[in-house]
Amino acid sequence: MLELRSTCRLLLAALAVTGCSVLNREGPAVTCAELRYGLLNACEEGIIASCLHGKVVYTLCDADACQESFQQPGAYRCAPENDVPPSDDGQVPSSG
Amino acid sequence: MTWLRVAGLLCLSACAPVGLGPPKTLDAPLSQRTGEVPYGSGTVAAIEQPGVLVRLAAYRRCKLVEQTMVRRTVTRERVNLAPGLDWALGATGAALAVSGVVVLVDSGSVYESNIDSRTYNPVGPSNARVIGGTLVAAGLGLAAIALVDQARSSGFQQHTEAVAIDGRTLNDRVPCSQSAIAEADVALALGGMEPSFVGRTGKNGVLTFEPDAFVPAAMELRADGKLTLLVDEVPVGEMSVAPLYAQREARAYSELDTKACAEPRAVDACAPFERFLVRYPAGAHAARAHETRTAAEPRLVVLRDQAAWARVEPLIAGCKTQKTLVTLEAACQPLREYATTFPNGVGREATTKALESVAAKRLALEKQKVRCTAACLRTCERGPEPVTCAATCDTRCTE
Repeated sequence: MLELRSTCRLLLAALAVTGCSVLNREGPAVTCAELRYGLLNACEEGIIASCLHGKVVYTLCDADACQESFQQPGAYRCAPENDVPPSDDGQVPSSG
Repeated sequence: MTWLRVAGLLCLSACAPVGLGPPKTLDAPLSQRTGEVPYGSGTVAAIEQPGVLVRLAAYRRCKLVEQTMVRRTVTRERVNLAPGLDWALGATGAALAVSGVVVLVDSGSVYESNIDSRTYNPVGPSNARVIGGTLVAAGLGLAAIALVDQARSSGFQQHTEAVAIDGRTLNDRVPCSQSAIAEADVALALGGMEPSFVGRTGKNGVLTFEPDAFVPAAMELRADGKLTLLVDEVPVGEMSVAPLYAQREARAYSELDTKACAEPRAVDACAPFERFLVRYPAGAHAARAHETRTAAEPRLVVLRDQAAWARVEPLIAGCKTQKTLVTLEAACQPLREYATTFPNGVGREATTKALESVAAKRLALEKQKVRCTAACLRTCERGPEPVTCAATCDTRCTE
């Protein structure tokens, strides 16, 4: 009981010192061009950025998903059983 | 979990027990007086003797003391009996409040909890503000408990009263005026006799009685004597016998037949006066009784002479006819006593003549005894046991 209370106090203290912002996550700051219009995707802090209909969209995964062993650069998935998030086929959208 | 709620509610009002510190007393003298203080478990009686009555009032025992009246102010400071608890509450509350403030400030930097955005925070800024606010509120709440306890334990309790402080004892055996003993058994101690029960005190602790009814008539009294009074078998004081003595002396004198003594017709006509004077020698009527008795003395002497002569006269003949020294002495002794007691009595001449007539006879008997004794001793000297024999000579020659 005493240990639990001590632990709680410690957690509260840590939370108080750092604040909730410690839980902030930022995905990759990329453009569709950098993602080759859907041929690739990018992953950072558990957020996968992909290009869909010419716009960068984000898929939220676990915080450490980007470092998992099953990941393949440019084809990140949230989990091994998941599909790669949908994206364009690499064609540059026509301007006209 | 009910007790947890109760404990929580109690803690809302305050947690730490608050007591009182040691009393600090300040006395301010007001006045001096004498007062009664209950003392021991004894009984004290106030005894009065109005006339032939005795009035006894029984009280509890008190002592009379000098008292100093003071205004006493007693101050007791309130004390937090569990300061450690409040320190812990205060410290925890402060820590929580500071943490809450930090969380609130930090909430501006917290990303939205939007899964489609490039930035993400599982808590979100609004929840962070709620957490921060909750922490601040909890911290302030705990700190408030400590502050309430602090307020409760500050200040003091004070009361003032007038107090009598006992000083020197003036008398350790006085009746408590406000503490009469009702229904107490009252008795008179009568020397070696069984105490005489007198009665019981009333509701006011008082009993009035007439000792004459309770002291046996046969009891010898002294004018300056005292009788001990008992309350519930405990001696509480003495009553003077003087009123009872005077009462009984007056009654006894009134019962005397003064005329019978003043003009006596019998030898014992004044005997009651003599008994009265023996019993009440210091009475108010003693002088008068003595006077009456003295005035009757010449006549009483005549009466006693006549009575003595009436007894002696028939013995004269017997005195004269005795033939041995022993019987002569015995038979004539009453005549000699009469002649000595009443040298001028009515039988003076007859007595004198009778004693003179036996005087020669007595002389002859004594000479005969001397001769007899001498002859007896001589005979004994020649006998086998002269000492034993000589010892019997006197007896033999007297018979």
